[in-house]
Amino acid sequence: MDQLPHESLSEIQERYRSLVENLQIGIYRNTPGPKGHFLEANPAIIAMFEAKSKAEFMKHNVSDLYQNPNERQEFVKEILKKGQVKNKEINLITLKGKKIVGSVTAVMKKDKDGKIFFDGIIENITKHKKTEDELYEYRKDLETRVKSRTQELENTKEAMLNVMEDLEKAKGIIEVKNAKDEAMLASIGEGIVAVDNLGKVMIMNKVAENMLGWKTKEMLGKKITDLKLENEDGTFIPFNRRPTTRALSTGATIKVTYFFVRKDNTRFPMAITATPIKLNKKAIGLIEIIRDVTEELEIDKAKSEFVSLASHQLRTPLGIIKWYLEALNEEAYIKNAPDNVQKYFNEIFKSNERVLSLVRDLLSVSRIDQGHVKNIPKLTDVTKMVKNIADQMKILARKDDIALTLDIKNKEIPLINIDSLRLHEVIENLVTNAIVYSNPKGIVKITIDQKDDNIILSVEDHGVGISKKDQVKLFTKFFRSQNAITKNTEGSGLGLYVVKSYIDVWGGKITVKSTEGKGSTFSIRLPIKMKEGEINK
Amino acid sequence: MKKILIVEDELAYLKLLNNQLTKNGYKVVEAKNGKEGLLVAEKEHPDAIILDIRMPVMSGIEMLTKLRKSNYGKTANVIILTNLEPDDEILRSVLEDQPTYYLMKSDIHITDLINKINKLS
Repeated sequence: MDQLPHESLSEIQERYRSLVENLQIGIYRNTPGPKGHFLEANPAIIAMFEAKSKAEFMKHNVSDLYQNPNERQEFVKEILKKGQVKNKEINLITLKGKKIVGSVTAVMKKDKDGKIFFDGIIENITKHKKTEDELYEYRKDLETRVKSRTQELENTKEAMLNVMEDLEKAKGIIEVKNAKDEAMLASIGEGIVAVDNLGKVMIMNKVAENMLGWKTKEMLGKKITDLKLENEDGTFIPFNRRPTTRALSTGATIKVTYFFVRKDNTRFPMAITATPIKLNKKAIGLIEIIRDVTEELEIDKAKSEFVSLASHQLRTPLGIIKWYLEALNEEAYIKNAPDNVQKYFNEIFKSNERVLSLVRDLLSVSRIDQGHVKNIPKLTDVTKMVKNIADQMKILARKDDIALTLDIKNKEIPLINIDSLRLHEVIENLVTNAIVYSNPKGIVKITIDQKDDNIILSVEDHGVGISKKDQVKLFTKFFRSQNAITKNTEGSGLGLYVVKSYIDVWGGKITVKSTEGKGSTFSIRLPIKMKEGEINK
Repeated sequence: MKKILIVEDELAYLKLLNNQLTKNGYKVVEAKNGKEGLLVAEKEHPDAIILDIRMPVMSGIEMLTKLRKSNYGKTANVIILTNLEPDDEILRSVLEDQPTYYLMKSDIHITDLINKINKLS
């Protein structure tokens, strides 16, 4: 280090003075006391307090530079007590009234007379302070924001908790509802399967599980149509014929009975009712109610078998009575017997015929119900058959002077492949009805024609007619219209049921037009290309 | 004189038929079941056979099937006369053996039956 050159005292004094005067830190010497006055001040402090000159500055009391005079007294007390104060922040005010913050470090001193004075330095830290304040404000703001965010989070948390609580409550309610639903589903004797719009299983009750041999867990999300459904003869029901598919595509309730094949390959007859759940007229799923109808079918079968057996057994003695009556009728002693004997004889014969016809109808119905009607088609000349029937029926028609006419509109009606015995039964039935329900001296007209690929056969009478109300039920089993009962007490109410059942099997159609008191026209349409099939329920 | 074989287990039918046919100038031979019927048919070679279906020992169906295998039986006139409806499963086989007629006892009038027999060649 270079040694300082020797300097004169005035040179040293000058250097310090220059140092003090050029320092950016205010340097001062002042007196204590409530107001205090400056003894020394360097240019930096004069500039700091915006005084025009040193003289002006020196005129002011120390307390004039404090924003708060009390602060000055505190400051003085502290110095007097501790002998010094370091880096004390004081709020000051310039002579022009600008507020500044000064950081003051001062020491207490005594002169040779024992008078107390303070030597101090002051730094303008207003800018620092401002930055600091800003930082502080910023921090405070940050804190506020953090607090408010925290509060928001707290609120959200609370809200969440409330929602959760509500959910718990709702869950409770739903659980109770589910339990109720489940209890209800379980207590229903029928199996219930709910499927969505794709046929996928959503719910199954216990009964359905037991019936189908599949657990709900195994079936959830699987298509119900993946399970096997077949006809009695074991042929598979194609996807588009499945009740699920039909109900979903048509939006209508479908009721069918098929055989269901369980997981273990055992099978049982199952009645299915598939009811669409509709939203805006579109099926969004189905409720399928399933029922094991094994017992019902067995009872039905037993019933039909009983009827069938009883009917066959009845026929033998009835047939014998018929034959013997006929034989007797040929004998001279009956032919020549008094009128009342002949009358009694006829009544016996007629009653026997009635029972025979009832037995015949019962047998037909039991066969239809059992699904045992076999279509035995053979090439048949329908025109010829109608002619024969008309000839046979003339005897019956003549009794009441009824004219039976035949109108063959098309002479080239082709032969059709049909069960001729059944067709005979159908036509005979319609013509008999027309005669029986005609008024005396009436006209019964049979018309046969061909339209496109169909043979149209109609039987028209001008008899009692059928009311609109009764027309609806006309083709149901055992139904007899009021007019029919009045006119003829003997009918079984089975004839038209049998007729319609057969025509349905052939893929044909029967229709009726009738006005009460004016007569009826029954028309049947037979497709020339017959459909093969069985009569079923 | 034409000869008719009646195969029938129900005596009332058998007697009446025999009576009516005899009255109409036929010679009648009888059998009470299918087994007897086959024997009589082969021995007597009747012009027509009236055959019931439900009979003990051997049914009319079985008898007809067996009959169709013999020289005489191949072309014999057979009238099935029964109370069984012709749509029962069992009757499919009967129809294969081509009876001349399939008649229901309770539907046919005896006079119609005799008319049909008269027309047979």
